[in-house]
Amino acid sequence: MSAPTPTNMLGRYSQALQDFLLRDDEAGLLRAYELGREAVARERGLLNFVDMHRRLVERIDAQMPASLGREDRSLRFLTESLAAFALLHMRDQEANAALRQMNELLENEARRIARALHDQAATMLAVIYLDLADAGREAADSVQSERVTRIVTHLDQLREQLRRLSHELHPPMLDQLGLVPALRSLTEGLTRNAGLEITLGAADLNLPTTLATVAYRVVHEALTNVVRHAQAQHVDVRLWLRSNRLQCVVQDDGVGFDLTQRRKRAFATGLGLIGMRERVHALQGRLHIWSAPGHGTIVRFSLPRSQTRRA
Amino acid sequence: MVERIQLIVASAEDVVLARLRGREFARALGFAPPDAILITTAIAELARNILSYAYDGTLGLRRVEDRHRGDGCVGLAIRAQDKGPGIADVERALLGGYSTSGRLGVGLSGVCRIMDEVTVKSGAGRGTIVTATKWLGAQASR
Repeated sequence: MSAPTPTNMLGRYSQALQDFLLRDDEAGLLRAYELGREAVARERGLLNFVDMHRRLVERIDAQMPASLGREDRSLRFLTESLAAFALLHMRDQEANAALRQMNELLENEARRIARALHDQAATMLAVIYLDLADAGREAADSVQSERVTRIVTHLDQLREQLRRLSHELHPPMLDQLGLVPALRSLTEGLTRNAGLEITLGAADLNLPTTLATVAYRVVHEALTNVVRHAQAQHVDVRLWLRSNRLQCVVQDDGVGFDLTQRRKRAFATGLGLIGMRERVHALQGRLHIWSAPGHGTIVRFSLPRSQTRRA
Repeated sequence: MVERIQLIVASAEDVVLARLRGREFARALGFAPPDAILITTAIAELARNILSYAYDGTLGLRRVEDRHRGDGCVGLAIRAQDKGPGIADVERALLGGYSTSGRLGVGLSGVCRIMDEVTVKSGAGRGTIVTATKWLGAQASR
């Protein structure tokens, strides 16, 4: 009984497991739970933890003669130790739900501001244009009428900026016509402004609003990255539905990058990859990025279709 | 069948006994093994809080029925009571904002996730009473 207690987790887990195999009691199960709790605190991976258990069981099996019910005890010990991992999982699910809710709130807010910019500012501008037209007609001399013309030119720029800002905040087409027309408008705009050749392949997808908004944002971010960094000639954007999931691929023929060489976190932050990933994960989706220098980049994601409420 | 169990929590051995009684009780009420493990975990976390913050206290386990449902829905209620320093900001503690245990998803915030209903009566210097109920068949076990 006075054998020194091992200090490392492997040793203590091994000791507790062996004790439990000899004596099946609640004290042993509490030790199992506490060890699992400690493993979570030390940020040990679930799979590593289970593998540690498997290796210990192998070792015990080799050393001790088989006894009745040992397998069952060993499994119960492991299950108990995983309770803390289960709690961590619950916490993550809860955080995910909160993130999804937060995203929806932000989207709604963006939509509201976009409408205000579009509707209210546009109405105000229309009034100013009318007043200026009057002022132009009533201009006493060419100096005054030139001044009015200049003001109109500046207003034209302002109106265009407001329109662009409003569309960036929330493309009205997304609500009115759906994801594919909104993406078509986006890609046509990029082709005009950035000279990028973009193929958009998508059938008519009847998607819930939340899903359509997230897909739009992620494709938008992916295309923004292509314009900024890829030096690509051509981008292929494809969307389709399969097994009740929205699937999407954005593939470019640009310079690509080495995912392994750069410091991943800083790099990902720079590319907005974290934002893309979080949006996708909040809807229980998956996102993968493949790239290599000289071989372009592929961004692929899928989102479950039935997860979200129909708006 | 036993309807109510009252236990003193003042040592690590008491935690073991509380868990054992809770596990047996949960199984006897008809909770599936995964839910029994989670209920046992909630008991461990509540007992742990008593030992760490108040040194001693009591833990009661009780069979409860949901009168509002009227279909005889049965649940297990845990009541953890101590005369310790109490929790100044209960809401924050429930959200897991106080300690490292909250960050890990255990502690009081973990109890909230495991159990269907949790109420906390506390305040600085007033001790703490946590009542946590899990209903049988309220939701699929996670």
